[in-house]
Amino acid sequence: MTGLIRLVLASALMGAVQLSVLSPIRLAHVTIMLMWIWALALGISINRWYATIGGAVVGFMLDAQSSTPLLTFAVTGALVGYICGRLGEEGIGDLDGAAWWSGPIVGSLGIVISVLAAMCVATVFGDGTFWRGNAGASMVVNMLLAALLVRPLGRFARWAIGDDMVVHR
Amino acid sequence: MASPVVRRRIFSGVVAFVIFLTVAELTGGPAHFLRSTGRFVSAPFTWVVGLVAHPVGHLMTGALNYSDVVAQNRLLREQLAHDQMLINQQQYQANELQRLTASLNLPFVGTTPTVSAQVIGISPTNFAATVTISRGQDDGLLPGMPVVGGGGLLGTVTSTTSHSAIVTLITDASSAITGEIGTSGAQAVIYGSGDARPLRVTAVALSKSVSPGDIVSTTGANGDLLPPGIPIAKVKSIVVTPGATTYNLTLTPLADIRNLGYVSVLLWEPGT
Repeated sequence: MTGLIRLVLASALMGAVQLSVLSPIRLAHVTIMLMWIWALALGISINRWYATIGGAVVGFMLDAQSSTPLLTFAVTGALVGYICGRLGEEGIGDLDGAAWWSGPIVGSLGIVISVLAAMCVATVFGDGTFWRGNAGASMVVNMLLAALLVRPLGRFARWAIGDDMVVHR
Repeated sequence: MASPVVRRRIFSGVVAFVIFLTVAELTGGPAHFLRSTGRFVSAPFTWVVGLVAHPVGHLMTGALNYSDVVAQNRLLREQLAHDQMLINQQQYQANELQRLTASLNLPFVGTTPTVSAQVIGISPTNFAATVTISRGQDDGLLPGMPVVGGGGLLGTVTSTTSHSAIVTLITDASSAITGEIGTSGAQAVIYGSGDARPLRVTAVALSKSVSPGDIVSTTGANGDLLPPGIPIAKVKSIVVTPGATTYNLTLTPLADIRNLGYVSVLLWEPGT
């Protein structure tokens, strides 16, 4: 239970950094999506369920401030966290056994999945405009950032949440 | 048969769900309730992070761009003095315009009351082009009202709370506005293409004369959701496909949508 509370608090902190610091900044006209990188980092560093919950918490904070259909980003965050958690549990890109370069690759591919998942989820929720926006640019910039940040964020996640819930590979 | 513990949990769950639905219905629907709750819960976190991050960000920005800040300040002072003079001149012209408008029976020009608002936030993602402004229902704002600033139409109010409102910008991919192109009389629907992208117009008849630089304004035709005469954008380029009977246009918004500080909301409703 303590781990879950720490997870929610750490995810809320990430959501706050996203909303207060990163969302007002545009890097090459693109918003830095820390929320997705956080869900990916949780996936490769802790376990699939923590990644799912963490992704949903950060996504919901973003949903609350957006004009897009409610729960679009929460569902996307949860999906991405779950998929990346499965990969991490299989030893693909995880912090313990996998090669150091596999984490960034999983992170970058995770961003591609995140953007596509956001577009599909929004379409299911009745908003087809995601396909007409800056999805391509958003993907490229966030892939680079995910490659750089996914492992440091994974280490931070372990420090903040604790090692107890890490799935042993 | 389920055990007593399971039954108790199911009962508690059903009761909690009914309470949630009741509260949600009383506060304007489940989606509104969830969004408001999300904002309420996340507010302390964003406040604390903002409290720490913003002064550091301002310090760094100021230190890195000191000479620019000084130059910009000087420029703004000059501009302010110049604008003050223009305001004085325009005061007289505004009075004249009001008199003429009344005599011509034009519904929008110069007569619609406005509310000034500060832009307090931009869309947290790339998937919507919106801004949050510092005025809401308590100031008379309603969904659908046009928002102008920086020389043209910026967008429309899409949702409101007591003290804030979300404005969907004309660049948003869901935006579609009817406009009249220059003096050609051609009416077209202007579509947004997403943040930092030009506006689009499709299927303008070749018989209509349109050239780059033409100004597109709202029409205010019967049933239109915006008042007439608000400038929206300038024609940037014209694309003619060989064999087609129509052409497509790309437009540049007249307002500088990326650098919004203050905006004006026209307290205008269709039919007023």
